[in-house]
Amino acid sequence: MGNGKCFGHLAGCLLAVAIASSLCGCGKPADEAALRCYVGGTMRPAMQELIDIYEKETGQAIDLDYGDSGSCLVKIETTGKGDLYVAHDPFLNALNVKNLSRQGWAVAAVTPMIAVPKGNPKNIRGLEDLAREGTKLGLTDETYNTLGHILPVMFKKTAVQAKIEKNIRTRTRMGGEVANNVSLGHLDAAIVWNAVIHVRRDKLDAIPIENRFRPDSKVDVVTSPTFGEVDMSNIRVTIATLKCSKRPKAAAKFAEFVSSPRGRAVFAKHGFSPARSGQQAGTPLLLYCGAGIRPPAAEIIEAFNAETGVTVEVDYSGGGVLLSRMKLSGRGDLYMPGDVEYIEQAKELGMIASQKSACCFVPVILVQKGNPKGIKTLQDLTRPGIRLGRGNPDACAIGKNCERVFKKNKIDRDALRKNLVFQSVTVNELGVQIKTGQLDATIVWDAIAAYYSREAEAVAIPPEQNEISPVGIAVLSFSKNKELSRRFAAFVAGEKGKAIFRKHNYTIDIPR
Amino acid sequence: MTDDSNGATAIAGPRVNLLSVVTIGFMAVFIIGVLVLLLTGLSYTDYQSIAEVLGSKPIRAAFRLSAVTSAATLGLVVVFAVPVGYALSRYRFPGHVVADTIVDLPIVLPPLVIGVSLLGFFKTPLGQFIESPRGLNLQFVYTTRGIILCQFLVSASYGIRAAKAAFDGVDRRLEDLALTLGCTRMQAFRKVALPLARNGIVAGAIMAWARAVGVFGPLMIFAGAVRMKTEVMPTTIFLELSIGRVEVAIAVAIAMLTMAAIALILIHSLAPGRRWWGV
Amino acid sequence: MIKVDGLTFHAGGFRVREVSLDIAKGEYFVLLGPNGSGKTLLIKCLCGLIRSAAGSIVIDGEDVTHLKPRLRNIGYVPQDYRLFPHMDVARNVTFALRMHGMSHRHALEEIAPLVEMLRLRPLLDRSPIGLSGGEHQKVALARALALRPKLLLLDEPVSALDDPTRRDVCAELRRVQREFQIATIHVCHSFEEAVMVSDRAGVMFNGRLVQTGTVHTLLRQPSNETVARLLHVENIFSGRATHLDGGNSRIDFAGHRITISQRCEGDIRFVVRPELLRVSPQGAAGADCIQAELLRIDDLGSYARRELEAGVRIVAYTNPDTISRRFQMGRRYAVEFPPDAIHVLSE
Repeated sequence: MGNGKCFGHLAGCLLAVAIASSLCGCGKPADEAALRCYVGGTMRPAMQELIDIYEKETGQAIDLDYGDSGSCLVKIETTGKGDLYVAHDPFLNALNVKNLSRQGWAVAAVTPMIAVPKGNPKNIRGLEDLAREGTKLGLTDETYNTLGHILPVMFKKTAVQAKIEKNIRTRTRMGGEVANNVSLGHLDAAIVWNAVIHVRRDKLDAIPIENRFRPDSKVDVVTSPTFGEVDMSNIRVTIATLKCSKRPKAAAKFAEFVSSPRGRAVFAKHGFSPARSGQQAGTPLLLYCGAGIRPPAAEIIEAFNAETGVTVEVDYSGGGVLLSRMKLSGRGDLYMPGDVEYIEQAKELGMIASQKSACCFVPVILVQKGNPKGIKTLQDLTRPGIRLGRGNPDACAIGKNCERVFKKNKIDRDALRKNLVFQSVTVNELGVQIKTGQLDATIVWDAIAAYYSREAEAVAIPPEQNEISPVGIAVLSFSKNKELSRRFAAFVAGEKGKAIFRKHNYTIDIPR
Repeated sequence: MTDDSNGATAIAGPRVNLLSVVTIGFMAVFIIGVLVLLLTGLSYTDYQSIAEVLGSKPIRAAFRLSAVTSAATLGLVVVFAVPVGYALSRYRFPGHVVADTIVDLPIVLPPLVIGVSLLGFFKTPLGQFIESPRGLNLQFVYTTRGIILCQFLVSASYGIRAAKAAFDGVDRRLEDLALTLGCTRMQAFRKVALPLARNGIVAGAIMAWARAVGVFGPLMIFAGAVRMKTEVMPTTIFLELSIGRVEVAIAVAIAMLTMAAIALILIHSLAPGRRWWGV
Repeated sequence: MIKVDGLTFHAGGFRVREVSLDIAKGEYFVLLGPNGSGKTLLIKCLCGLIRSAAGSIVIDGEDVTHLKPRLRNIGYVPQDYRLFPHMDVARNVTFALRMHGMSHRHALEEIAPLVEMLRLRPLLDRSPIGLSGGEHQKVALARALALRPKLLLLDEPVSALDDPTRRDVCAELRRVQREFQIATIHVCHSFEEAVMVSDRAGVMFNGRLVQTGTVHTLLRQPSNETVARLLHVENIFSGRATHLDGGNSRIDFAGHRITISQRCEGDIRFVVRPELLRVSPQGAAGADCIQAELLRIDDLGSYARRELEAGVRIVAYTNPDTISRRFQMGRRYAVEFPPDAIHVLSE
C-alpha cells in the first residue's frame, strides 16, 4: 500500500521547504539600500509613478509600503523603521505631535468632490442636488475619516441638510470604499477626494462642490479625527522624512524630488489639486496662530490687509502642534501661541528673531448656563460627580496654564483625575463641550468664555489664585520677509491690534 | 471495530423521504449560494483583466510569494501541529486545560491584533536581540520571514486542533500493543499513531493552509505591502480595490481560487486516503 | 518457566496485590475471575504496560520486572484483538519482525509455517476491516506469535465470538499452543472455556489470585465461597460443625444433621457436590439422609437437575435416564449425603 511512505515524503518535502525558506534568501531583510516610504490614502498611484522614475534616474531603490494613513502611523511608531511618509495634513499633524518627523514638503492638495457614475445618470450638478428624494448617497465616516469631518460643515451651509442626511445609505471608513460602491452601481453619489475619483475615472465622473458650500479657511476650522485643528479648506498632501531614518540625506533628496515641479506635475496628473503654500503669489506672510486667539487674529489680519495690502495666511492649531510644524517645515514668518512659554521653547531652538507682547489670557472657570452644579471656586472642581474637561498640557496653552493654576492652589490631583472626562488639544473644543452639555466645568480663557456667554457662564478665579498668561507675537528667525513680519507684529501689539483684542473681550493688561 | 474507519456510512433504503429532502435541500441552497457568488464575481471581471493579472509582473510576484510562503507555513504548521497535537491528546499534565485553551486563542484573536502585537514584540529587548546583527540577525519586520511568521500564527491553531482531534481518534491501546510487538514509544508513534491520524492531520493542514493563503490584516501591519517584496495575493486584492479596480481584484481572487484548487488536488494525490473526488 | 512472585501494582485507583504464580514451559494456564477482578490489569502488568510496585516477574531465569515491553519477549493478544487498521493482514502479522529490522518479504517467509498452521494464507492481502471475529482472532494470534515469545498472553480471546466459533477457536488455540510448546495465560470468565483448554487454572478476585489448581480441583474443592460462586457451584450452605472422634465431624444445618470425614469445628460454610447426591423414595440404611420435597426437574441433556426443598434449597444432578414416573413433584424424597460429597470452605 505504501501510504505511510508517501505521507512521510510529503511531510519531508514540506519540512524542507519550511526550513529552506525561513533560513535562506526568503528571510533577507528588504534590500538594505532601499528606502522605505509609507504611503497612505489615495497617493499610491502617483507615488508609485514617482518612485519608478526616481529609481530609473538615480538607481536609488525605494520600497513603497501602502496602508491607510493611520496604520502607517502605527507602523512608524512601533517599528522605528522607515524613511519617508506621505499623508494628508491631519496625519502629518499626528506625526508631528508624536515627534516622529524631521522635515516636510507640501506636494499637492486634495479637494472634496461628488463622485457619480460615468455619464451622471441622475444629473447631479452640485451639493444641493444630493437632497433630491431617492438619491442613494454614500459618505465617509464622521469619526474616523478626515473628509467625513468636513461634511457636516458643508451640509450646514446648504438649506437642505436634513434632506441630504435622509439620503445617506452608508458611511465607510475609507473614501475608496464608497467610491467603489458608486462604480458598482449601488450608490448614486458619494463625496470623496478628487484623487479618489481620478483613479476610477473610467467609471466615475467628478462633480465639483460649489465654492459657497466649501469650508472657509478663516471660519470653519474643524477638529480632525486625529490631532489638532486643520484648515479644511485646503487639505495638503505632504511628504515628510522620518526621525528614525538611518539615511536622512537620501530620504530628503527623494522628498525634494517629489516636491519639485516634476513631482507636482505627476500629482496633478493623478487628479490632485496644486498645494497652496506661503511662498507663492505675492509672498503673503504665514502666521502660526494659537487656536484660542482665532477670532481677533482673523480680524486683525483683515485690518492689516486693509491697511497694507499684505495677505497673511494663518495656520491655526494648538501652540505645541504649531511649534513642531514650524520645526518640521522650517518655513513661516510669525508665531502667536496662546502661551508665552511656547515662544520660550522656540527661542531655545533658535527660531525666534524678535517678540512683542500682544494681550493677556486670563483663565476662568466655564460652567453651564445658570451654573446648575453651583461651582464657585477651583476647589469645587474636585467635588465628586463633576464632569471636568481640560486642555492637554502637552498640546495647548490652556492645558499648560491650567496645570499651573492647579499647582498654585494645591488642588487634589487624584480628585481632579477622577472627574476628568475630556482632554482637548485646543481650547475651543472645551467651550463646545460645555455648550453641548457634555461637561459641567472646565477652565478656559476669559475671551473664550465671553464668546460662549450666551450658552455658558464664566466663574472668575481671584487674581491671587490665578495664573495670567501673557500672549506674545514673535517673528521667526527663518522668515524670508522679516521686515514685513515685524510690521505685522507691531500692528498686533499696537493700539489698533489692542482695540480688536478688547472688542473680542480679551484682557490687555494684567489685572491686579 | 469492523466499521469503516472514516466513521461515515451511507444510509441504506429508499432515498426520498422527509429527512433526505430537507437535508439535501439545505445543502443545495448553500451550494447554489456559493456558486452564484462566484459567478457574480466572474461577471465583474473580464478577459482583459485576467490577461492583465497574468501579465503583470508585480501580481505574478505576489502569486509566487503567496505560493512559497504558504507552502513554508504549511510545512511549519505540520511540524508543530503533529507533536503539539500528540502531546495535548496523549499526556495529562498540570495546566493541560490552560494549554489547550491557549492553543485555540489565535483563532479568536482578531488577525490585526496579531500584527500589532508582533510589531510590539520586535520592539522589546528580546525582539531586538532576534533582529539585531549582533544577536541572532534574523530579520522579521517587513520581510518574507515576517509573512511566514504571521501566516503561521494565524493558521497554526487549526492544524494543532485537527491533529489533536486526529490523535484523539486513534486508540492509544494500539500504540501500547505495538510496544509489546517490539516497538519503542517513538516507533509506535511513527508506525501506528501517525499513519492512523494522517487523514485528520492532512485535513487540518489544508484548513491551516487555506487560512494562511488568505491572511491579510496582520501582514499589512507587520510585513508591509511593498510591491514585489512583501506583497501577497490578498494584499494585491486590497491594493487593487483601493484604487477602484474591482475587476482586477476579482481576477486576482480567481487566480487565488485556481491556485487553491490545484494545491488541494496535489495534497490529496500526494497523501492518498480518501480521494478528493469522493467515494 | 514463568515465575511471578509477590507482584503488586496499582492502576487507576485499582490495586492488584501480591500475585504469585508459576507456569511451566508449555503449560496452558487459564485465569478466571469476574469482571473487574484485575485479570486484564495483571496481563498488562506482565506485558510491561503497567509498572509494578513490588514483586518480580522472571521468565526463563531472566528477571524482566523492570524491562520495557518490547524487551520482554511476551506475545499479547488483547481482548478486542486490535489489529492495525492501516495495514493489511500480512503486514499486521509481520509487524513485530519488521520492527526488529527484517524486511517485509523476508518476514513473510519467516512466518510461513505459522501462516500455514493458522490457515491464514487466503487472508494475507485483505484489510483487517471486514474480517470476521474468528479471523480477527487468528490474525492477532499470529501477530503475537511471530516473534516466538516465551509467554503468550490471551485476554479473553474468544469472548467476542459466537458459541460454535468459540469452541472451534478454543480447540485451535489449544492445538497451536501444543505445537509451539509455549507457556500461555488465557484470561476469561467462563468456566466452560477453562475446562476446554486449560492445564491449570487460577481464580482472581478483588485484585488477588485466590486459588490455583486444575479445573477439577477448583470445582470440587473451591477454597472459598467466592471461588465456589464464580464456578457456579450450587448447594452452598451454612452450618455448625462439631468435631467427633476419629477425624470425623458432624454438621448441623437447617435442622438437619450430616457427618463428614473431616476435622472441623464452629460455624462453617460448605458446598455439597450435586452430582454425588442420591435421591430416592426411601433413604438407604446407615447413610445421612434428609427428607426433602421435590420442586422441579430440568432435563439438561447430559444430566437432570432436581431442585428440592428442605428448609434450604438442595440441588442434585442425576442421570436423566433415571428420571421416571416414580418421581412426582411435591412429594417428599430422601436425599443421601455421602461424606465425600461435602467440601468445607475456608473463611
